[in-house]
Amino acid sequence: MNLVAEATDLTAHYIVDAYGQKRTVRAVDGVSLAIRRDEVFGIAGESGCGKSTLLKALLGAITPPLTVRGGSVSYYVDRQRMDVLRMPEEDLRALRWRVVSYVPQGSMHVLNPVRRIRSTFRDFVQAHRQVGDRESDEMARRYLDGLGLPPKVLDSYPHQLSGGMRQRVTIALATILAPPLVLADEPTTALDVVMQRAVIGMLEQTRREAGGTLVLVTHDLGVHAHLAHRVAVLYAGQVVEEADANTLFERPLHPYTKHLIQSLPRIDDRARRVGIPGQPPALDAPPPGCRFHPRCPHAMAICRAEQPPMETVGPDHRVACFLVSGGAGDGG
Amino acid sequence: MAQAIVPAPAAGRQRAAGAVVTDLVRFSPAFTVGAVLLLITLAFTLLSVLSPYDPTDRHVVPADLAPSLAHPLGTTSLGQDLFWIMTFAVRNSLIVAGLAVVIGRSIAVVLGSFLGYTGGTVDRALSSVTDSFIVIPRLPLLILIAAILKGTLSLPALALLIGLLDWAWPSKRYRAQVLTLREETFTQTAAFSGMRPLTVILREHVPFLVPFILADAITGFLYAIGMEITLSILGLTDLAVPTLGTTIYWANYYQALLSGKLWWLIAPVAASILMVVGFYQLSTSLSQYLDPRTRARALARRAAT
Amino acid sequence: MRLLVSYVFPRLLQWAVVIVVGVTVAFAVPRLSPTQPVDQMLGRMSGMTATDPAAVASLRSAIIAMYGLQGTPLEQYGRFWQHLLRGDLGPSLTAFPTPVTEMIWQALPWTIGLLGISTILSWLLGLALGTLSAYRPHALWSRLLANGMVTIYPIPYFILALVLVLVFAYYVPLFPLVGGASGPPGLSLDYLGSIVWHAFLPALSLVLVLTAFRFLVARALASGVLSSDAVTFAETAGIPRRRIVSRYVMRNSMLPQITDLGLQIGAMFEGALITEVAFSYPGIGYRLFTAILQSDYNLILGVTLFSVVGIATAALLIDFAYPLFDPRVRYQ
Repeated sequence: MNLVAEATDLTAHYIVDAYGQKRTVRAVDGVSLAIRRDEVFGIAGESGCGKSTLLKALLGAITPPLTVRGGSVSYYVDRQRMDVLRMPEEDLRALRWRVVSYVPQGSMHVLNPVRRIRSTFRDFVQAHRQVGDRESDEMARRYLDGLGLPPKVLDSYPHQLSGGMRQRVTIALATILAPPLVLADEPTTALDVVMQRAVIGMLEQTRREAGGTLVLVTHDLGVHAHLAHRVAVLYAGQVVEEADANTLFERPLHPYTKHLIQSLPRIDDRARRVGIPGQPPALDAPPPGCRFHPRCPHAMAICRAEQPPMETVGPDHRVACFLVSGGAGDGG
Repeated sequence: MAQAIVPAPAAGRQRAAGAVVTDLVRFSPAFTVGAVLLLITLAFTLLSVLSPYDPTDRHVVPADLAPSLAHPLGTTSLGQDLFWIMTFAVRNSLIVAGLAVVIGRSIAVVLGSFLGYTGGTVDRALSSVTDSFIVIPRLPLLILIAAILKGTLSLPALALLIGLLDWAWPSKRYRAQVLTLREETFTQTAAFSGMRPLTVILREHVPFLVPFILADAITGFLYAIGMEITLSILGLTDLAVPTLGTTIYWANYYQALLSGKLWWLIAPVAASILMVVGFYQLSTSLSQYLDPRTRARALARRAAT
Repeated sequence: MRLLVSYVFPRLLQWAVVIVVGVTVAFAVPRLSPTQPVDQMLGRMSGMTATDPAAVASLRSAIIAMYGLQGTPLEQYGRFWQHLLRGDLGPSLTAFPTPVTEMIWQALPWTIGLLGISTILSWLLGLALGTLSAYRPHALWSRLLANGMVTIYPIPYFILALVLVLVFAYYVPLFPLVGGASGPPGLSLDYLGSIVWHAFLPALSLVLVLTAFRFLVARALASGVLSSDAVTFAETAGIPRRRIVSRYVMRNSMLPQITDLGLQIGAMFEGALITEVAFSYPGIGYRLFTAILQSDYNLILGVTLFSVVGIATAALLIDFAYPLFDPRVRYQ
C-alpha cells in the first residue's frame, strides 16, 4: 500500500444559521484525492477555491460552522486504514504531530505571543513524547541548528522575530517529530522572494532528511513547479485536473489549468499576460453545470447544464472537462 | 470594555425594524425576558395616573399597615399607600434616568464622533482629557456637588448632574466605533466612488451607529438608576418626591428593618432588581444581535441538518 | 531607557492631568454654588455648639483660610494647591479642629482592607470561572453561572447590600448588621475574629458584583483568545486542554484585564464606599455618609480630593506593573 492518505468524494460545507437566516458555503464538493508516501503533492488554485477547507478536512479539523456532508478521509498507518472523520476526538488528537502535522496559513500569528519559542516547542513536543523540559529544549536546539536557524531564536518571543523567521519556526514546529504526512497551507504567501526561497529550501531539507509526504497548498504555481511531484488543480471547491508535475506544466488539458500556467511570468517571454475575465464564483451560489463555464472561452451548451465527470486520460492524469470527455449526450 | 464591534456590510445588512424585533424575539430568550420586564415596568408606571392619592401628600391612610387587599404593598410610616407610591417612584426614577442618559449620551455622541472623524493632535489632546475623566471617581464628586446644592436639587437638576458626569467612557466607545467604521472597506469604497464625506457618514455609518448607540444607551440608563438610588439613599436629593431611592431613604429613616416593616424595603428593592435585570437583558441581547461573530458562532450548532 | 520614555513618561503625564482636572473640578464646585456654604455652615454650627464668639471667630477664619475665600479666584486656586501639596486638607467642620487628613487616615485601613480583599477574591474568581466558562460555553453549569452573573451584574451596590442584609441579618441572623469589629481593639484573636465576622457581609456584597463583572469580561476575552490563530494551532497539534487554558488562554486574556483593572479601580472604590454605608462599616464611605448628615463640607471635599489622587495613583501603579506581564512591551 503506497498510499498515506486519501479523500473519497469529500463534501464539506460551511453552514451558518443566525436569527433565521441560513447560508451554505459549498467549500469542498465531491473531492477525491489519493496521496502517496514520500511524495510532494501540490494543491493549486486561487484564493476562495476551498483549498484551506480541503486541508482542514484532510486534517480532520472539522469545527462548526464547517460540516461534512458526505465522503470520507482516510489515513494509512502501519498497514491500517483509519477513518479520520468518524474517529473519536482523543484518537484523532493522538495521531496529530506523530502521524500528520499541519503548517497553518497566516503562520505569523500562530505562536503564543507571551511565551518564548523554547516554551512553545516544549508544548508541542511534550504533547506527544514523554520528555522533560531539558530534553525537549535539547531536541529543539538540535533541530533548529540542523535547519540553519540561529539558537537565539529559542530565547526570543514571537514579536522579536521577522515574519519569515516566524514562518520557518512554525515549519520546524510541525516537522520536529518527523510525521509521515505534513500538510502545509500557503507557507510562502506574504513573504518576500528571498524568504520564500529560504522556506522552500527548508521544506525540501526536512523532506530529504526525514522522508514523508508533503501536501502543499498554494496559489503560487511557481512553488509547485519547484517542489511538487504531482499537482491537483482546485476550482470552486472541486478538482478540475490532476497530474504529475511535468505533465501538468507541459500538457495541461483543462482551460483553467492552462490559464493558470499561462499567467506565470517567464524570464524570456515578454508578451503581456492575459487574464481570464470574471472572478471565481461565490461558493454559496455556484453556477450550474461546470463551475468554470462562465469564464471558459470554450464553453459549450452541455457545460452549462451538467457537471463534467472526472476522466482518466493517462497514467496519473485526470481531467474533468467536456472538452476532453466528449460533450454531447455523454452525461454523468 | 471598549471593544469596537466590526459591522457586517453588504448582504442584506439593513433589515426593517419590525423584522429585527421578530428575529430577536424568536431567537433570543434574553431579549424576550428583557422586553417583558420593560413592558411590565412601563405598565406599572402608567398606573400612576390612576392614583387616588397625591404622591407628596402624607397621612392619607393609616400608617405602618402590612400588605392586605386594601393596601397591596402595605403602608408607610408617613401614612402613604406603598403601592401607589411605588407607581410614582418607578415613574420618577425612569424619568430621571432617561433624562440623564439623553444628556450624557448626547454629549458623548457629539464628542466621540467629532474626535473620531477629526483625528490628529486635537483628537489626541482631547482624548487625553477624556481619559482623565474616566479615571476620576464620579461618586465623591456627585456627592460633593449634591451636598452643596442640598435642598435645591430637583429631579431635572439631578438628571442633569448625573448626565453631565457620564459622557467620558461612552464617548471613548463611540470614538472607537467611528474609527472602526472609517477603516471598513465599504467606507473606502464609498469615498473612492466620489461620495462626499457627509453623505458617507449619513448614509453608511449612521444606520450602523444608531442601533449601537441604542444598545449602549441602556447601559447608561442602568448607571443613572444606580446613581439616583445611591444619592437618594444618602439623603442628597429632593426627599419629598417619591423615587426608588427616596422610598428606601424613608424606609431607613423610620427604621423599617429593625421595626419589622419589611414590606417598605422589599417593594423598592424588588422593583429595582426587576427593572435593572430586565434592561440589562435587553442591552446584551441587542449587542449580541449586532455582533456578526456571535451570530455565526452562536447558532452554527444547529447547522448539522 | 527607551522603555522609560515611551511607556513611563506618557502615563506619568496622564496621571498629572487627571489630578489637575480632578482638583480643579473639586475647587470649582463649592464656588459655583448659589448659596454661600461658609455662612451656611456657620449658621448651622452656632446652632449646634455654644455660641462662644472666640470659637466662632477662629472657626470662621479657619474656613476662610481653607477655602481661601479672600483674593481673586486665581489666588484662591493657587492657595488651594499650596495647601494640597502640603497635605493639608483643612479641619473637619463638625469635629473641629481635628484635621480632615487625620479622620481619613483613621478610616482608610478599613476601606483598604475591604476593597483589597474583595478585589483580589473577585478578580481571581471571576477570571478563573469566566475563562473556564468560555471553554465550555454549552455546559449546564456554564450557562447557569453565566445567567446568574448577568443577573447580578446590573444590580446597584446598595440594592444588593440590602438584599444581603435582609437575608443574612434579618431572616437568617448569622452576621452582624453594623460596625467593623466588636470588643476592645488589639491583636487578640477575639478582636481579629470579630473583624472577619463583621467584614463578611460587606465583602460578600462587593465580591458578588465585582465577580460578576470580572466573569463577564473574562469570558468575552477568553472566547476571543479561544478563536485566535495561536489557540487553534495548539489545539490542532493535540496539545492537552489544560495546558492550552493555562498557558495560552489565561495568560493572553489576562493582559487586557490588567489594564482594565486600572480603569475599573475607580468604580470598585465607589462600590466599596456605597457598601460601607449600607453596612455602617467604619471606612471612608461611612465617614463620607456621616459628613453628609452633618453638612461637614470640608470632610466631603477632603474625601473627594483624596479619592481623586488615590485612584489616579493606584491606576498609575497598575499601569507600571503591566510590562511585568506583557513581554511585548518589555522587549521592544
